[in-house]
Amino acid sequence: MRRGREMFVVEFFKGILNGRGVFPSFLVISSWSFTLLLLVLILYNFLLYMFRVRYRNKRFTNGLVKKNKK
Amino acid sequence: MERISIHQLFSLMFIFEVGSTTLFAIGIGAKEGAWIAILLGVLAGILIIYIFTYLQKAYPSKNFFEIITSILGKKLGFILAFLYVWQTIWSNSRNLREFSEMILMTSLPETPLIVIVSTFMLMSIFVLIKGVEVLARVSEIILPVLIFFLVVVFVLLYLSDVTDFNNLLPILGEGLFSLFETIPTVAMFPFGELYIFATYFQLVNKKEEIRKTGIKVVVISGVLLCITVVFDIAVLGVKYASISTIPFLEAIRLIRVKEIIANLDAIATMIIFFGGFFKMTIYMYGNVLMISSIVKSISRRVLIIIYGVFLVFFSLGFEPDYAYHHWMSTFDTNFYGVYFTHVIPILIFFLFLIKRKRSEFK
Repeated sequence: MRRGREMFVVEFFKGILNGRGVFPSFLVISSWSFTLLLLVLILYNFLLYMFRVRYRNKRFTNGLVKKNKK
Repeated sequence: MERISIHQLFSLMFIFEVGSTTLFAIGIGAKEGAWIAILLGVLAGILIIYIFTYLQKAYPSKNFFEIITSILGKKLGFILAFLYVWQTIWSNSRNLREFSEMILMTSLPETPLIVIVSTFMLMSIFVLIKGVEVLARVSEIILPVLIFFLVVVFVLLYLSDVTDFNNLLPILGEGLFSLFETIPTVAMFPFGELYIFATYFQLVNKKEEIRKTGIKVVVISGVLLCITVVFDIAVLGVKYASISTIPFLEAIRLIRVKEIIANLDAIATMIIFFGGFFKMTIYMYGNVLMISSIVKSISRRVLIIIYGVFLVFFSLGFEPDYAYHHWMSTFDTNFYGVYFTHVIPILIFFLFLIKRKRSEFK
């Protein structure tokens, strides 16, 4: 069953990328993968936000303009 | 450091949006509802301007690459910047090839393609080596000329008695599905392509006015594109406008006012030339800025030359012919273009908001 699903993904990509060339295929796969990765990251960060876990990262806060609190 | 004024940013963005896209019947997939698709695309353009200016406001001293790495971390940020560079190389090559092919088709059919591509590129390299301020100042001169040409064409088309606005009916005759199917294409081309200006925002002297300027450009260019597509359909009809290679040129060829004003193909050629040159050069410099913030050891001038030479050979080799180019257009925009211009920036924006909230916890 699982193998069948994997084959479906392969067949799907073969279908849409057929004849498109290496470069566009690379851009399709990389952009979709990166989107998926970002979604996971957002979900993970949202969970941490719900549990009020503080984010400490100097790279992130360095140069960041603080919001004006009225 | 190089600086451009807010007016120069407006000129660059406007020519980037309008210069080339007026030639094509944007959103013609929605048939008679093409102009509605463009108006909805404007909203997507405003969204993208809002996101990029929001991030630039949050990190006013950082460039696009530094902003990405600040939000995503060094490794992920580097990978994304690398992907953006490749995506821009692809768009830039397509752009260079497209306009060179158009010049070949309309004005110089006997000239080898490599000569036209190289001439385009030599001009771009020359201007960019002089500095982005030169490009920006030239855009300020060209912008009124371009708008004048477009307005003249609209007026003459109307006076030529070749327009039939009944061609625009029935509105949404194909149903809402074809309209929604066209929106991602219009959202990416031309409005999403403004993502490249995220690399220019750091060069602008009045950063607080960038958002207002960007939105102004998107709205005005959207209206102008709307008028263009309305004239394309009114003059040529939906069927011919959708299969024609350069619908605007075909429409211009029909201009005939009292047997005195006719054969205005030169105007279309000028628009192709200006639009193609600016779009390609803006893409090129934006990408060079991105690469130079990743590879700091190479000087920007050397990078411009290397990138330009690479682009000439890449644009000649990556596509066999114009038919393939046309076949790839919808695929490019729908399958990955819209991810780079809208989906990924929106996700980064949300990630930034959550991370900032988390960093404020006591």
